[in-house]
Amino acid sequence: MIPYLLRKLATIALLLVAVFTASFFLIRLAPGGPFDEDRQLQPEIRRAIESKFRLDQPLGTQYREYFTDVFVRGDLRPSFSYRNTSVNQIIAETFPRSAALGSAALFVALLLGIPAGVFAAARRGRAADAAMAAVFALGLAVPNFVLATVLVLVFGFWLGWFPVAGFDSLAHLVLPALALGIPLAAGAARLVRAGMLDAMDSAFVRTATAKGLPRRRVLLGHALRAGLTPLVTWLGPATAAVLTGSLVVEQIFAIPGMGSFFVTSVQNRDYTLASGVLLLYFGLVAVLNAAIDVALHGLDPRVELR
Amino acid sequence: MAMAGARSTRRAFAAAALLLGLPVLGFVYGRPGRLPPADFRFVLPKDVATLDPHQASSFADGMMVGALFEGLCRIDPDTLAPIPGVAERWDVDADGLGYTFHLRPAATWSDGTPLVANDFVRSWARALAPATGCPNRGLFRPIGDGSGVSAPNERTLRVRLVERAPWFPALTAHFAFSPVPVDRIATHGDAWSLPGTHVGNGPYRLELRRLRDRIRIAKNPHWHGKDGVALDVVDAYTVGQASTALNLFLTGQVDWVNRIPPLAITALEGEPELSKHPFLATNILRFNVTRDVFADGRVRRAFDRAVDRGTLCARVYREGERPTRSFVPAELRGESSAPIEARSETETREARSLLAEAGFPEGRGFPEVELLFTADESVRRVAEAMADRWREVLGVKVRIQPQESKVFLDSMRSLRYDVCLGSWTADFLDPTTFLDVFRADSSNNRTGWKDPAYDAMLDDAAKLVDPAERLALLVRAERHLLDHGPFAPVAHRGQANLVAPRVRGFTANALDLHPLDRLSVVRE
Repeated sequence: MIPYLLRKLATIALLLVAVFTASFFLIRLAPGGPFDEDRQLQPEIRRAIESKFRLDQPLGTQYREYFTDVFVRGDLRPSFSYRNTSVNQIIAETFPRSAALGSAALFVALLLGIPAGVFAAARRGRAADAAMAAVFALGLAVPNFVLATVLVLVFGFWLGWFPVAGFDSLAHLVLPALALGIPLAAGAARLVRAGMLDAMDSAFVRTATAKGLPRRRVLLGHALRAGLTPLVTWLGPATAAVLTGSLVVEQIFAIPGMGSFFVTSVQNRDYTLASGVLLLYFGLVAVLNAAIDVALHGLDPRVELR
Repeated sequence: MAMAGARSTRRAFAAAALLLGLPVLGFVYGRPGRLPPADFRFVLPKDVATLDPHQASSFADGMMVGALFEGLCRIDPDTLAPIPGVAERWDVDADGLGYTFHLRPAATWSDGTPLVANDFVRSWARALAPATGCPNRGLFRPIGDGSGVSAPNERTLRVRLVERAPWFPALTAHFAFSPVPVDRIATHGDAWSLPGTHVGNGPYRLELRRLRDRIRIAKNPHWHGKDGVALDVVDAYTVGQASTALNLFLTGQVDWVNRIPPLAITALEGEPELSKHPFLATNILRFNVTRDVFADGRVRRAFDRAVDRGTLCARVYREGERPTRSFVPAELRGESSAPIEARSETETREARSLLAEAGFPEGRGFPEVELLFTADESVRRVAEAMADRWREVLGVKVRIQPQESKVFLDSMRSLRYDVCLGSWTADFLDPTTFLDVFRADSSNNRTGWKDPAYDAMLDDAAKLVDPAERLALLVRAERHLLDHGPFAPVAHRGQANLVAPRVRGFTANALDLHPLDRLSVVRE
């Protein structure tokens, strides 16, 4: 276990350096700079601001100093678009909100997805299975923004049960969590169904059935446990994606999370904020994937940690 | 066997805890927290970048800085005339170059310390220092390097202008001219403008900032006009999506929205909540005169004459735009705005003959040109309408090219375009707020056009003391600009606002100024 974790740690460090380097150079290649405004800055003002953000040094020096700040001091530097605010502060403030919404969405996904998948697997080949398959396909196919708009219309305007946008109370989280969670639930259900069907064809489940165990115990005790493997594998990247926020859902529901930064920081050429959110995202994906490996090993000790 | 089973069950539990623990933690830590409700809530289209008046630039920045600070003068939202702010009165020297502002004895900062004339001297010096990086530094042009600004005593500010600027009292109402607590800035550095350390001198003071969510301000108990302020707590929400802002308004969660989806403007036409009014801004076309074809003034005039302004304003723009053939809105020339004749056959004929004169009869031999604009659905419709019209009237090929905002600004700055869509908004009530854009040394010119004769007219106008003579010269300068310049005015802008019926004191005006201290709400 320990050597595995050490190896994993080294890989994650390498990945982050690669992400840092790629984002550093790519965003600087894009035309237009952070200080191009509708009202053009006077040349000396522009130079003063660029020097304040240390953009006046040679690229190599910029890279070296920024690298040291990020990886040695853990300082992601001040944002270009939020003046007088560091990227560390911005992430510390907005990431938990995205994470809260993402967590709520993940619970929706698991709460709806696992039972639906089990149900479909248990009714394999029957009409109910086919109907569920259609529902899952629909859940995956309907784009987020359409689902969000329908939810706002029905539960916000017609029924008036939940607020249409904002981030003032738990009630404000219900519609965005559904909008984000329902497509995930459909995905989860399909994985659970497939995983269980695989397991149900395997020798140990047939043995359990032959021993005369009740069907419910075979399904939930044996098939489900083995069948969860694909779901758990999928959970790593899904969690990372959902915790760091969704641009579309955050915009439609005015959730003050960090999801929008993946797009707006690049649009604003906010170099430091863009690098910061990318590092967080890739770091999270890598850590969660390692956690998944450990979890799979727990579910099925035949899975080796490599 | 039993042992192994127990171990793997334990592992499975550990794994499940690991997987679900993070989301649970995330939820507990990041869940929304309740705040006591505000008296008035409105929507800003984007996050406030800073509450430092010398770094502020966007509409959102200006709106909030305007509530937290007060200049020597303020602008009356009904008349748009300068009225007393920190200064209770002011005198102008006979030569029109010297101003004496007399400060209110009661002037204080929001922390209760007295505000003195020297605070303005030091604040303006900070705005002028290049290291401050003040985006609005260009507005300080009339005071030159600031050496003519002095404080003979605590209550008197003397300003000696380097060129005549009759709008100077009104200019001191612009947020860039606000006093800033210079000593506090020296102590706290950039962090001075954050909640906790922020100090201003306006009707409100800063309570809290939640990034991407809201800024909350509360009545400043030290402000001289506090007795007239009706709203104790005001929330300014950041809502990027216009349709989301509309949803919030329609469900009563906010009281004022000023960016409305175009389709909703059409749908809400005639409703009492919707107010549309003229706005002192002009939509224009820029021609890049460093491109061979547009170096020829006749080609630029041909493109100008061919634009169908009437149809654009009737069918494409949504916020009440008015067709125009002038850059400076009539209100700033002291005239009332008369609608121009929508579309004339003479103009179309003139456009064709100008292009023929320039050597391209019926567009023959004219190279394909590109019309550049910022990627946005409503701007695209304008670009399409114009390109179609040029094709139809002039017989030229025009490709429309959307670019993401920062790329567009970069292309415009470095003159990598043929024709592009733009606009200019008044900073103050004087024709020069528009005319200065196309001075040779203006950073906003962005066309490659330089004309010493034009610059000389503006310089001469600044020397005239008599307002009527000055205005006459400025009108001539604009005529010169329209005949020879690198641009074509298309429409004067309109502005639409959605205001809840419970709000009182909201006046529609041409600068779209809505001081929060003038507003109140009635309880239903």
